[in-house]
Amino acid sequence: MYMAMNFTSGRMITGAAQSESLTQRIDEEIKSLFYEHFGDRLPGCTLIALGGYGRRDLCPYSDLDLLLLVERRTTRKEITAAIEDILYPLWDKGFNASYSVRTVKETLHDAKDDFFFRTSLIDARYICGSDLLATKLTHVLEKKISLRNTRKFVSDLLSHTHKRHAKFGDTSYILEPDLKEGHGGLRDYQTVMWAMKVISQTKNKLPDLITPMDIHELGVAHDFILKIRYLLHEISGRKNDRMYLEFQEVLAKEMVFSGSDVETSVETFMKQFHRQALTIKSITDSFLFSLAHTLNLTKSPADRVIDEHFKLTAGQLTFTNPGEVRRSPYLIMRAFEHLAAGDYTFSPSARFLIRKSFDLAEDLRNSSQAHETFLRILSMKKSAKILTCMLETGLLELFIPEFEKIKGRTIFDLYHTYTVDLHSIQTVAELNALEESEPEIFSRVNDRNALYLSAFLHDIGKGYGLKHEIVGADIAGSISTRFDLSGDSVDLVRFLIHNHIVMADLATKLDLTEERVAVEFARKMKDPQRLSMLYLLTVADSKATGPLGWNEWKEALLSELYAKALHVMEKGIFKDPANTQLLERKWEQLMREIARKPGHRHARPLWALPQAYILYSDTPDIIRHMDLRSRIDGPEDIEVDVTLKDKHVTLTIITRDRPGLFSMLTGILAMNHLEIISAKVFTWLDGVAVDVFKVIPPWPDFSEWHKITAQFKKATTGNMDIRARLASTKALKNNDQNAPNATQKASITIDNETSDFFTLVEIRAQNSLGMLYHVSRTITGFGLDIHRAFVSRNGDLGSNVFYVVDALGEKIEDEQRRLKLSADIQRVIDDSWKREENPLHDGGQEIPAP
Amino acid sequence: MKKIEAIIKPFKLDEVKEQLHSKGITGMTITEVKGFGRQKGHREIYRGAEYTVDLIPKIKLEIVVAADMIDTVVDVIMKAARTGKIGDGKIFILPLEEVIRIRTGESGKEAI
Repeated sequence: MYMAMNFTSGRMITGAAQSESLTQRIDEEIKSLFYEHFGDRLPGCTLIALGGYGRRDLCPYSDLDLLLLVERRTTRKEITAAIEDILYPLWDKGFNASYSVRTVKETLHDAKDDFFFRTSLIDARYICGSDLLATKLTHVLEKKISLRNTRKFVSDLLSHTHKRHAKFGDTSYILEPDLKEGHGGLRDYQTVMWAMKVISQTKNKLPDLITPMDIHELGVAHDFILKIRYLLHEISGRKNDRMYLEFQEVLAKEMVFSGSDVETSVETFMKQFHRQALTIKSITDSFLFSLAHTLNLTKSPADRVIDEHFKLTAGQLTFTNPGEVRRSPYLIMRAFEHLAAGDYTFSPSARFLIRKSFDLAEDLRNSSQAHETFLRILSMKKSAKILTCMLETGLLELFIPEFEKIKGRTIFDLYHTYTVDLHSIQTVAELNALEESEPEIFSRVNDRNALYLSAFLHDIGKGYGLKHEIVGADIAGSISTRFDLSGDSVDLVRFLIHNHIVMADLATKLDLTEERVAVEFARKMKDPQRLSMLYLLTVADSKATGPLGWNEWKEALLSELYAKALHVMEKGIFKDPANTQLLERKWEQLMREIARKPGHRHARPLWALPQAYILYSDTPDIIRHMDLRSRIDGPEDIEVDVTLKDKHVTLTIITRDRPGLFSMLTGILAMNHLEIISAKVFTWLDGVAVDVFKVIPPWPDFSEWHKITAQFKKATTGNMDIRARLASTKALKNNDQNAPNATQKASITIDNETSDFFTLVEIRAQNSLGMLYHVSRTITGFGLDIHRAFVSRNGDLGSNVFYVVDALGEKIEDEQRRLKLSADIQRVIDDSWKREENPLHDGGQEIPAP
Repeated sequence: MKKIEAIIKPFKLDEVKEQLHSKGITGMTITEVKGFGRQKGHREIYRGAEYTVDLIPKIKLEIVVAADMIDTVVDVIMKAARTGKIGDGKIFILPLEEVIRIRTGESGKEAI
């Protein structure tokens, strides 16, 4: 049925011509029906088109509002029957036609009370019937217009417009915009036209509220969107004003948009659409503001001088001396800064002046004063409003030409709710909000300019068909250089933009309970400022993406990664900032060494090396350890390496990690009277333990290393009762391990604060034979695994730190358990001293002197 | 027919999805959830203050399969989602009365 009407949406015709043609056809149809059913039978009737039909803005399936003007009310019953005969054929054709029957007097009366009826009357158009009545209506309507009811009408118009904008959202940014009712949609255009028409009929002379340039641009934008609406109704097969994603591709094709290498046709189309909607939106807003002011509908602050360049007139910012702008283009940027500082808008003349000064764009781009002002605006509280205003006036893309690429750009994914330009501005706004809500994280940020600029430019690389964070880092780098930021700041901007999607990704893709994840991330971030900046940017970006981009779930994971990486920097291995660089140097050395080795046979286990291990080991040792590790396979394999240097002997033991390994090794060392000067224990990420002991042999020409190695191997297979053997081992008389001073009690700390991943057991105590064995055995007895350990001796005092976790990889959360562990360790230390004082205490027996 | 609900660690999602896919399981519902089990609130030092995290972010998978696929699916999830540490999650198996595909009206196994 609909096809019978044969709407032909010629591709090259304008939106207005298209609607006009449809209107004419409907007019013809209605006229012939009118003469058929009214004709001479019912004289003195006039058919008037209202609203969109009156304006000739018809689209397929549009509403057809008709007003039948009659002389008197008496003939109404007959008339009703006749007009319904006109409507039925229209309904059959898919039009939602409706009518009312009124006398001129009634019309006037109803228009007074019904705002929507009044607006539809503004567009009233005579179709057929008695032209006498039509003229009478026009005459009466015009006579009734006075300044007083114009004010009432405009005031109603403004309040309805605000309500409509709130309900339908911003057509210029929303991804599935409402073409008719949204902010920047067709209704806005009509609102301006109604107001202009009503104003022009008032006798009073009002100042110009809109420039001819604005009127022209408004008309172009309206025509573009009207044409889309026509097509959209056609495609939807019903009256539908919302441009759903599914329709956008077809519309792009119908509107003859073609794609390019980096942009699909639908992206180009939507970009163009959003621009046109933006034009309608910004001109409408500016016009309505001026209108409200001119008619004294809003309270404006008193006129005053702001500074030598600006003044406030009628609540709007105006240039004191417009000629100045051409000499000092940076004043344009200053004008925006004033907008941000106060709650003003531009006066129509200021707005016009700014738009007229676009030929000064190059001067503005090269003005360091403009750059400084722009950076100040970015981090001001109302920056989002100002940036939007810059975007709408077109200044933004002139000042930062790189921004042109993302203006009005739609991202076709499930997450984004806004176009890229508005998303960028929203990210700045979210950052502003975070500065309020997260003062502590922000306190770690010294370079606010770099952070705000990164937030604003983070998606600047979109639309090049490449990874946008990489392209974006380069573009933003050159923008920051143009803005004369310091080299460090430029580096920061590049770093932040390059990494702006990494953190959110890693937070969901990695096991945050692994120490290595936090350490690797901290290493990549280098310092707390960069980490905090990236966190803030990530949160602001996610929040600005829309409700799907941010929720408590994502926040929990992201803040966990942030907190843990920060903790590594503040209390962990990067506590000393020098360690960050030292670690990088170590890695470089290591890579060089490996590259020198034939066949790169060490390449394999590099991933398994913990950062703390790299940091605290000498590179040649690491190479050596990897050599030894390559010989380890099964759980019983053990590699022992003995190096003699000066007075010390370094014993390196490499085997698969298992509970009780450290106590087994220290037990055997004690059995053999080897005094431990230091020890470092690391568990590699492939489950191999590397234990390095520096020991002093009991006598100078001690040479029983083979025996010790054999004991290690034997113990590995479980065939040795170390406890019994050690109980029967007696301290050597000549051993320089002095008897402990009973007045010095061991100090034991169980620390859960330093690391998010391990409980640290720290013991400072005087050494005694086998003490490390007993202590580590106690730890193992608690079901704890020694993941890492550092033992060093300074004189008689030994400092021992064990990084432990339970069988499930957790820290010791239960305080009672921590207290018991501490008490048990204290007891075994006391006992080991007693044993030393009284060798027979433990039922031990003397061993033959060597 | 059975419905399998699995609670897993978020970073294991990709692996589990991939493994299920390789066994021909292509349809599932994924939800971001929070909760706790034996891995009760763990304490964290965050912004200098210690606080208890009592709801831990997890992923919930919902999969509907024919009864004879249960072992395979459970096995795949067990292997792919396991880290051996606390908080690896749980698998629930629920009896299912009926499945209906809205578009076609097909029901039972055809609709899975």
